[in-house]
Amino acid sequence: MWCRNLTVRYPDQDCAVLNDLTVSLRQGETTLLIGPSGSGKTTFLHVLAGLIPETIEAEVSGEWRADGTVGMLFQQPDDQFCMQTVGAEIAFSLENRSIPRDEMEGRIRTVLKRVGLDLALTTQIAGLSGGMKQRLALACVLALEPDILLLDEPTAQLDPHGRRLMMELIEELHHDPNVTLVLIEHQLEECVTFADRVLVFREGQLRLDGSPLEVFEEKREELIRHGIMSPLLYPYTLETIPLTVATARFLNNPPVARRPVANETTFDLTDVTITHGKRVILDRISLTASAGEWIMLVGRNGAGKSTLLETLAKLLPAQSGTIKLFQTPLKKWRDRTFYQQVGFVFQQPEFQFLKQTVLDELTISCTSPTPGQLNNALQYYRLADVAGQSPLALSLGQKRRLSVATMLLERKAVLLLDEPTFGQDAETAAQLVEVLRRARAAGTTLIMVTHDMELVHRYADRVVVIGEKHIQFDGTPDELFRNESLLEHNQLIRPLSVRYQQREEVKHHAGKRFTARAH
Amino acid sequence: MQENDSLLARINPAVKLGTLVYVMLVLITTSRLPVTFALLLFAAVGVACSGWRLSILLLRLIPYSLLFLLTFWMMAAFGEGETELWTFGWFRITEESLAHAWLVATRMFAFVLLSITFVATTDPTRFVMSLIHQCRLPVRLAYGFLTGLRFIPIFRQAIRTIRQARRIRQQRSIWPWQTFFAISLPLFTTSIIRSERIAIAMEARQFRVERTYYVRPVVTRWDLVFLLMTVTLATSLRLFL
Repeated sequence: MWCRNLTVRYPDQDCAVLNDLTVSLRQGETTLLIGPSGSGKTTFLHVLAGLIPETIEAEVSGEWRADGTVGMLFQQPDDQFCMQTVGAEIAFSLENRSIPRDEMEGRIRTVLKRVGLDLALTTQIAGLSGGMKQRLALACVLALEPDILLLDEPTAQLDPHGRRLMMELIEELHHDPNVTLVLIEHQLEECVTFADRVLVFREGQLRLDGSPLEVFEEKREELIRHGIMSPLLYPYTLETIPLTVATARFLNNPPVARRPVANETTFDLTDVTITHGKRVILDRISLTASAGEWIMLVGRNGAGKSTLLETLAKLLPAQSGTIKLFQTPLKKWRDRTFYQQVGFVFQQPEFQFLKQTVLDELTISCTSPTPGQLNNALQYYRLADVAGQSPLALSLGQKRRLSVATMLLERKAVLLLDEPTFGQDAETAAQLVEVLRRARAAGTTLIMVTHDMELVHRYADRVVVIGEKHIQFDGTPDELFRNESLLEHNQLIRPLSVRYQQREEVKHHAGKRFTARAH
Repeated sequence: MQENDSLLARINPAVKLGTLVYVMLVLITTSRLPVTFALLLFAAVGVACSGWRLSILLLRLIPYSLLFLLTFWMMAAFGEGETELWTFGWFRITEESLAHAWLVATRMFAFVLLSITFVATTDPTRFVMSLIHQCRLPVRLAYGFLTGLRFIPIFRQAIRTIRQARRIRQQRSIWPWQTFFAISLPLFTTSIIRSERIAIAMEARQFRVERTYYVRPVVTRWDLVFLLMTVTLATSLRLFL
């Protein structure tokens, strides 16, 4: 598979996305593509997959060739299916290859087994979790029996558990000598260990090309200078990293000092039961939140975290029990006054915008907006350049900032957030955390659903584990990360820094060097 | 829409559709009340055989029953006619309008029952596949339709979120059409982007017209028996009752 002098330009853009690219990839090799967003990585994969210029309109010049069948896996788990059921979906790949009907059943079961899905063929796709959908999508691509497999950020939209399973599958594919893998991935930690080659893209050109060791060890300074992420530990592992490396110092950083929270109670739940139809989601749970407290809700997919948030936001009724905000039961609050106190940030920001421009969106968020206040908000949330644009036309990070801005323009007593950092890049996530920290310092109670354990470790005042209809744990992150069985049971993974710190502690107690062992 | 184990579910979807459409045509062409009633009864038998539990069936029929009453009242109270039975204000019920009301309302309800029979016993995938094989529906169009079906639950979820967001931000519109636009605009912009992505994903999986089929409905002897029996019954009801 190779290309020579490849240049691609999209019809509505002035600059070329790919500029005079010459590269060749060898059979059986696993190649990792990295680079900032908009550097042409995805376009490169689209060309290799034969989608450009046939399906996606673009001006292309140069030569390219891919020997063998090409399969491609995309980022969005939901947007790769065209049928209703698991069996029919995989069969779609087989139908396209004109496989006889009698052979299909067997082949479908084989690929399902290969991706570790144990599902009936008539299972509805709509009911699967994101991680399962992405594994099903991989099964569909594998059903094409591709010689070349292109993966475009396959784990970006998955929760940590789904991400880990997906990474294991990709590593398994890497060991298959007949498959050539080309992978775009931001989750570098796992994939540098098995990639044979790393290509660094920037502004449509190939800037670096080499083995992971050459790129990430020798050229690390250059990557950092251009703002390209490099893996945290590589080439070391958690066991072997020396204290002198900057990463180790970062990992060893204790979480931010937690200030004592005020005594004023905001939400107060007693024996609350929430049902969905006849199914009990949460059974007699009790919880108290104080002003200025940052509470993170964690747990498996479908444990009822989002349902709890919706109930707190007065969007779903509780079946029994009492929920009080400032000592007044939720039922006695009038919507108008209630929503002046309580804000809600949805997981998908595009569905919470109500106006045609960003400025209007901010204007309706305060009771008496002044131009100065709005300008400050635009500056603070870095939306000044796009004030006149439609909220729907913003980038993912801008949308997220706007959705938080609309909720925080007026001081709220409580802000509920449903996975606000999900699918966001590191920079946007960091900005978001900064905004939330300030809100918390001003006395707002933050109740946030998240899968990001690093976030829990660094910022949570309190972490609540929800599972099997009950609150399984309610306490500080430190206590949670010491409880091995609880973590295991709820599919929670300790973040890297906690693992590092715990390891250091063991060394310290032992009073001697801890012998490194392969994990 | 779900397939179940009822006898009607086993009939080839295209044949079933053709048969039911024929019954509907018969309904339209008759203006005699006894025939319409007989066909309504016939449709009711169909629904009863559709394999849905009675409680669910009754629940789903409630809106249509209301529609039935409404149609009946409209036709009866505002219809034309000579022989006056009862008047009150604008309402004037005559013998002719009453008879007409019975006819139209019964016809409408029979239509509803026939449609429900079809929907309740037909799996959409099998239906579309049957259209490809028995009615030569173009493959690209058919798969486009199947993909569109996946958007229904996605839309439902999105609409729920938008409504919640409007409640939280205390936005109420004065006119209903404002609500309609507020909800449909983000819905359509996101779904255009998504449908493009799905189309690319389908192309990447080498979607082509020359293909084999996993689900391949065929016309069996039983389908023909069903077709002949129903058509004969409906026609003879029309002609001889």
